[in-house]
Amino acid sequence: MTSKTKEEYIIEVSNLTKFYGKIKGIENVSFHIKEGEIFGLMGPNGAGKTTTLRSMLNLIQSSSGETRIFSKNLLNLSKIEMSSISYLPGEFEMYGNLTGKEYLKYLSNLRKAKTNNTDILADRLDLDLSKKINTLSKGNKQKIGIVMAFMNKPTIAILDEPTSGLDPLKQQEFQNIVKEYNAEGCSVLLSSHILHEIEELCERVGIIKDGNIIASEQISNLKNKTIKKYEISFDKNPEKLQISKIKGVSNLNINENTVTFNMQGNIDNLIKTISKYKVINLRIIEPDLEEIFLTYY
Amino acid sequence: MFKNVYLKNLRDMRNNLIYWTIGITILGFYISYAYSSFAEDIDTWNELLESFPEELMYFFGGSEGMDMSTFAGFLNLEIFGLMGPIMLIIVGINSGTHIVAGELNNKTLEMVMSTSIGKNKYLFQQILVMITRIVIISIILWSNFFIFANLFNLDLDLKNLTAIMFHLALLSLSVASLSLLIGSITGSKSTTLGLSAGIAVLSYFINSISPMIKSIENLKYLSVFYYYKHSEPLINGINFESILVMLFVSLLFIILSFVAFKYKDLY
Repeated sequence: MTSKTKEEYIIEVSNLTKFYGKIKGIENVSFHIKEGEIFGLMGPNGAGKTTTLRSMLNLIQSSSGETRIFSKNLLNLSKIEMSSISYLPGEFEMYGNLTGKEYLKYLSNLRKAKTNNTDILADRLDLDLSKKINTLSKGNKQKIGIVMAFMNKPTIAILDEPTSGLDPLKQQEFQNIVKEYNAEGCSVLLSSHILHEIEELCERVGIIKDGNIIASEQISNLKNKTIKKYEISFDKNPEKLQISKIKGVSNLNINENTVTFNMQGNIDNLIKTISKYKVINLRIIEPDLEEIFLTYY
Repeated sequence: MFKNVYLKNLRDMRNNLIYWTIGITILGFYISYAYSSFAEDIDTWNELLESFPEELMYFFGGSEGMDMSTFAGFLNLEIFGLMGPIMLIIVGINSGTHIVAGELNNKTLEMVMSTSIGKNKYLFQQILVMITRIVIISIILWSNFFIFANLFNLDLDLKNLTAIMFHLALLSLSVASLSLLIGSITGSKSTTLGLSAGIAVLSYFINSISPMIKSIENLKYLSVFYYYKHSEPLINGINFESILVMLFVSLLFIILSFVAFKYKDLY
């Protein structure tokens, strides 16, 4: 069903563009996801995340570009392949006259799914599926969405703001579920503006701004490219080391034998410079994803 | 009942059908009882009817076939001239609007379409639901008049009653298909309801007014009401040419809906 050769990607989006009349939704969005990967799509509200996902899945007609899933154009996927992809929309409503159980059974039947983990997932999220959907809170409706996304053991899960409305405990449980299904082979595309969630789950991210992908790489690489804070203590005053002259150093401050500064880029020169003195303590403060994200905006 | 789109939506219409059945039964009883009560004064009623200007009679579906001396003529005036079409048009517009515009308005369609069902299969099953609803309500209406006519010993030709119900069901299907098409193009529930109702009313007036004015007489052929009623099916039986026209119009709108829905953004 999901035959792939060497470095083929399970999802490959190429130059996806969507215009609503003359208004740009997204333009030339390209990224790929490897099998078994959790890829994050991050950006603020209105950046184009949802438009990207909807265009990818042909729920809206893209103006140009292509989405390939399982190495095939999306439109050429078989029913079985399509049913192995789950999609949780960012804004969705369910049939309020049905119970959670009935609704999930309905969607499962439409997918013609063979496996069904509805009850297990509902238990993990403390979700009562016997209640009518129109009596549920926003958080409980979102839990139904999460159950829907994973109940049929998908090969690919595409999740748009999946933890919207969930309390922190259930957000944590959601992350556990994603990790477990990912460990079993499920590739995940996670769109979110909750950065710690992306940082916790994803290996790579695409940053989307004004409908364009402006960065797409490993979170660790993104971090390397951004400014880190250093705090180094020496056995004597480091003024003569002239750390301020090292390329990429800024905001330098010397307080007796301790120097603090920001640095971006290659640290080879820094290591060579500070090794001239005896280093008592070295502390590097990694920027979190939020700080990285803000550098792009 | 959750096996597919057709069965799920059939389940959803249960309550709605119960309300329609109650309403139609009360109406059927009332109309049949009323006619049986004043059957003795029928000549007076006919004289009154004949005194009405022809123009007014056109507004009630034409003067032909409105003979109060028969139950069929009475039904033609009271039910199949205006009230019956209004009921079945409401059913048609609601059914056709719900399929795309209604589901988009409720934001329920994206989740359904994200399964592997596909747009064509979804639309096909929903159209079956729409047809089923129209057929069931038509059968309820038909069976009511059949039962109450027998109960009150009123003379009503079963074949002709079936003929007018068939015409009425196709009138409803034509309007339902139009609503489906408008919904598939616009995706807006309010626009679809408004436009469909507007076109239905306009169509009714074209059929009512154009026969009275020589210069625009031929406009009546553009009105679906013309094909529903001009041949007086409750008196003369089924008119296959009219049936074919209404079937063709419905089919055309349905085919165009498939095309429009294929390119419709679902959000």
